[in-house]
Amino acid sequence: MAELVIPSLFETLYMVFFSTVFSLLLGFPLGILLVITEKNSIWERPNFNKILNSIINVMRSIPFIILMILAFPLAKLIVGTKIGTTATIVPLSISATPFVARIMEGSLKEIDKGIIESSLAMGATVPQIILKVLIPESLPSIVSGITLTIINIIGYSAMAGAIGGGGLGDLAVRFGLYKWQKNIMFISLIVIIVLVQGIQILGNYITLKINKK
Amino acid sequence: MIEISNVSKKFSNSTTEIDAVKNVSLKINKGEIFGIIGLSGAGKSTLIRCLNRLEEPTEGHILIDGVDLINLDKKDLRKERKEIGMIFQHFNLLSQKNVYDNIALPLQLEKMDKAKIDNRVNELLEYVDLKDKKHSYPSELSGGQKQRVAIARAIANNPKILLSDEGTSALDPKTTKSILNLLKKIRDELNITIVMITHQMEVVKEVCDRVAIMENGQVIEENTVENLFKEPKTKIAKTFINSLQGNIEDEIIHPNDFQGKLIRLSFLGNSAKKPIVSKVIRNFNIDINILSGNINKLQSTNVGHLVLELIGEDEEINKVFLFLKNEDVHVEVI
Repeated sequence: MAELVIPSLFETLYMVFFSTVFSLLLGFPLGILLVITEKNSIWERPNFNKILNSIINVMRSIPFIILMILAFPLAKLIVGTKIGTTATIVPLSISATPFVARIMEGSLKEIDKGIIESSLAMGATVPQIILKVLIPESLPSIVSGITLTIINIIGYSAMAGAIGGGGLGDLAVRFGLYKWQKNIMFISLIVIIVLVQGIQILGNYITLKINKK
Repeated sequence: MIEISNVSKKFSNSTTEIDAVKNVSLKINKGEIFGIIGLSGAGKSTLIRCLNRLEEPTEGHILIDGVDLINLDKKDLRKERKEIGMIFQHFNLLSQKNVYDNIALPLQLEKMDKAKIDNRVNELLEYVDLKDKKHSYPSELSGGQKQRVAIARAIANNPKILLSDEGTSALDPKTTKSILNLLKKIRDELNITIVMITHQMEVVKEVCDRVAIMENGQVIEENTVENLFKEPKTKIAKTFINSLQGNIEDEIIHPNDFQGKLIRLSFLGNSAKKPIVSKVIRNFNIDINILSGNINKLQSTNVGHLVLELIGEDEEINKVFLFLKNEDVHVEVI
């Protein structure tokens, strides 16, 4: 049994890890842009802000299963194949990106306006405010947002796995549904639960540890 | 050194337009502690925020050492802002950074090298008396300590001007006093011009050299603090003076309750030390009933107030008025 579960676990970790990294890389700047281009913010661009908001909303409304199909050509372009664990990273990253952008937006908006104002009064430039004030001030909140993102991606990765991506979700479906081996399905499920719990606990711990407020 | 001329600020949205600041002109001298007092909504906060263009004035000019702030582009404005420190009612410290890093922030923005930053921050920590809190986070500090950190941060770049937007409003009276003493020290030792917004007459009395009173977006009275205490012209100025502890005569003394003439005397500096009342009794055929009295210690001098009931002939009372005037005592009939 272990010879079935362990490779699947690694496939899941592989998918989740890279999807998280890519969605953070894409979502972070978008979230920052959402906040700073808002009206009365430090880099006011109201029209750009409206467009970006709409794009993110549209991306968030596409059901994941449809997004996966839409992402096939892109996956083929980037990783050279439409299916498989590596190919799945593409739709996973795309689907998590707007989520990360919104999480980032929420974290940055929690910052007291007065703090931004005082850095403006100090003569800080926009990039300085982002790097030295916005990000450090919202770091605990960002970490808890990353935790949420990872757990979300684990959920989607199970779905992606079921249509050819591999991983624990795929294992559960293959054995639980098609071969009627419920025990394998349950073990997969337990591994996923432990994974999610572990990440949540770790995320909470780090958030608490770094928060000085 | 700071010349505010005809500054107005309108806030408007689709339905309403608010004139927060209306045509304000003020001159603030170098090395002065200038107070701007007013009730909430008077526009004083908007005005002080125009002084570093955190708020863009709708009209008018702000000259600092002859340079018009309004004409500066973003880059030059940032440069100028480094010459203008600012502290706030709620301190606005970075909650995720310790005291040291908070004070170091404006220096890091200047890309100063680490050793220099370290020197300067330690110097500042000593100056504001917080050496032992170097590694503490703002959440571990009291309000007064937080404001000290904010002050250290505001003067880190050796600014010419320090703006205080209700810098003591969130503090208890004792802490307020220690912060005001620190501000005075900064003015005296570092020759930094301080402009402070407040709604507390205590603050004006304690540290300001001159004061402007704002109401409905306008400056309605401007004077040295001594003269304001001696001869407040507007009703709101009187209300502010009366708001000080012990100055409650207006509320409890009504002219209708007395037969004689009620007057309020204001003494300043030396005239406060003369035995005026006994001189009046000795020289004039008049009875005097003392109703209330107080003395306010201003940062430069003392101002005394005395409310008296004068009982006697009108002619005699007029002579008393003349006498008081010659003694340099301000008389106001209530």
